[in-house]
Amino acid sequence: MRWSPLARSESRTVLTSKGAWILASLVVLWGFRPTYAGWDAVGRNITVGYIQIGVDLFLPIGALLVSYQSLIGERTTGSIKFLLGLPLTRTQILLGKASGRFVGVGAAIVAAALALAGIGLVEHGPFGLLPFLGTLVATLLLASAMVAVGVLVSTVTRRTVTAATGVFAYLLVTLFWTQIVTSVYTAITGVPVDPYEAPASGPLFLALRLTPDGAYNVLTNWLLDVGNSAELFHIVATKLAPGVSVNAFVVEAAFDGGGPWYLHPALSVVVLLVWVGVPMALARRIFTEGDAL
Amino acid sequence: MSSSAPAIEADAVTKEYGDVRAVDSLDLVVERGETYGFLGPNGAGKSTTIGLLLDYLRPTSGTVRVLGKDPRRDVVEVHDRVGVLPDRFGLYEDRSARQHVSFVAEAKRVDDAPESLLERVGLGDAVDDDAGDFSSGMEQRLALAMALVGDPELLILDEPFSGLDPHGVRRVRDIVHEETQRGATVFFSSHVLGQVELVCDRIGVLHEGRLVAEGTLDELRDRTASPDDATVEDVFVELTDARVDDGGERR
Amino acid sequence: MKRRTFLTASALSVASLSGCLGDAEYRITNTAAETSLPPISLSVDLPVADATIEHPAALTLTLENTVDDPLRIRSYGVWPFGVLALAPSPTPGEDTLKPTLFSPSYETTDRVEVSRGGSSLSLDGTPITRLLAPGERVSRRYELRGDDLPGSGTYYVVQNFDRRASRYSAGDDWKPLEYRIRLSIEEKRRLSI
Repeated sequence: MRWSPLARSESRTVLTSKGAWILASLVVLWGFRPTYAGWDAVGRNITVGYIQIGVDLFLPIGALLVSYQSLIGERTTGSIKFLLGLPLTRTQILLGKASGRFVGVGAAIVAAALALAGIGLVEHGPFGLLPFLGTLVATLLLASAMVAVGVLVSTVTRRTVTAATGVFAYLLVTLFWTQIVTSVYTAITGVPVDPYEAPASGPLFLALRLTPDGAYNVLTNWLLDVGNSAELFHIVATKLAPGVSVNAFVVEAAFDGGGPWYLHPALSVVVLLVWVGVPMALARRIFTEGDAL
Repeated sequence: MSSSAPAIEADAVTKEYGDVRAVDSLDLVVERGETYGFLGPNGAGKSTTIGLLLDYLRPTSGTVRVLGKDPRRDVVEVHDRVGVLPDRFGLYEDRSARQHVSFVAEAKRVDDAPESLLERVGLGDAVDDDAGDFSSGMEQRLALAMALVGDPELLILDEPFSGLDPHGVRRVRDIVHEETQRGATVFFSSHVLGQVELVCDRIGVLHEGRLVAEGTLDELRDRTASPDDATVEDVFVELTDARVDDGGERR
Repeated sequence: MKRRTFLTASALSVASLSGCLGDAEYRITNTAAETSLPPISLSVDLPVADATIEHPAALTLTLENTVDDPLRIRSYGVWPFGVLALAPSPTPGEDTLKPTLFSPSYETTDRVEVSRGGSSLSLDGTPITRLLAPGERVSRRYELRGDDLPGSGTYYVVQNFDRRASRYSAGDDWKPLEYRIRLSIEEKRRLSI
């Protein structure tokens, strides 16, 4: 492909940066968390749960930091003049940028997942291959969604400060997503939301799983077979354990019999794909229109 | 068709940024094999024009053809056949000179040896040095080497002499000669006037976004009623002074 | 550069935290059992020393009749030890947090109900009395879940229910089945990061 040299160069940029490897070590250090609740929930598959814990917190911020400067950085230094002079359409430039950064982030995150798998194997013994591989695929899907968001931020903004602010705003919104969704839900319906006894509202639960990290958790919880929720796996299992009260939104705890069809965990794949496709389409639209400098 | 088309054709090209008209109804034809000097003071619109030729920027009105192609629609083909030395560029600081050149070679799908190109521009002993440590003259040389990748039919050099010492200036001049010998068209912008008469077949003078004069140095001397031994500098001052007065009237 | 400094700093702080992120796991490093009762000997084995997320630690308490006469032993809940717990002192106050010791024998009786969360219920207040023949040994397994422990330290095996200690009798009078079992428990680290 025309843009593969660019993609190679971009992935090399990521993989030779400290950022990618700091991200990988943070995922390992944060993710490896042997807990009684985790073991009681999934046994040896707790190793797969470690990946979920580390990735859920650090992959979004890491992938954004690695990708939000992809274009704005070249605009600032002026190297974009070489980039734009290459025999590539602007769409190909975006594709090369995004796929290269994705390969870089993906390689770092797969390395982190393999490290966690190795530690888990030594500590707890063999785990389920299917949940592990599924989680790996889900992780790469989340990585591509976050890189797409980062590239979009890099395309829309003209100044590094604006881009950094955009990244920060995104992280803030997703961090407080549950509070935002429940407040909006209460404002619209007048129904207060008690996270210990959440109302059986399909739209409420759907909204909670529309962020990339929420969708990722739903998907991996499904692979780990702990329950249908955007929370971390051991919290979901604790919520569903008899006699324990936890403030977590879990479909099985709120709905009798699984809830509406659109809360099926497999649909989180669609949510993640939308997070890849829509930012990329927007970025392409903006980048191919008008002046590139 | 396109092989006989001029290297550069601009037809009534205007580029506006809000109220500011950076390029104003520019008509320009550069024939194949020519060495064309695009002169003008800083801020005259030279780099904007070059941006329009390469689809970095898009014209507000008018049409641009490069090697008979639309720089926007046929961007891949145009950039494949054009070599660019941009103005006020930045390099990838953590990459070596070799990596810079091979990056362009890979994108252009040619197997030029980076060493020989870097040798040609005088960076033969800095092939594996990081561009982050380069002086501005070395940066300029490296950018020229990147422009030469793939023996382009058209070389667009934006201020190629800036930041160069006299040796570097001479080397760029030699390279421009070599390239025209090979059959390439060279279009370069400059506000360093002394070099132009040594290199160019034809000169265009851009002032406040308009092409105020065009022709060989002799033709320009005649037009401005300058003496026969007038330098390009004399002619240039004559031309742009006149336009400043015109500009005064326009406002 | 600033971003890198920030990331390095956060990496280091997370690294220093990493020991604390998981739940505490424990190892019973030492046990000591003593009785001052002439007819009875008590011993403790430690088939499983580690109380980790994967499994609880396990103690085997063994009671032996060392005299030539049969002994009667009277217990509440399960025979012959009753429902046991750990406490930081051999004579804990009423409101001391006492991590329950679980025993498979709880499962086979209707007299007590001990839940996973550690809450226990005595469902039958009548004691069980059985005979321990001369030379006879009786062993019971008790398990300690790591998440029930508040921390490392020295613990003593005590009765979970107050005033429900087992008693023994060689004749007519019932004497308390007094013993002291001391456990030294240390926190166990998984990775030496």
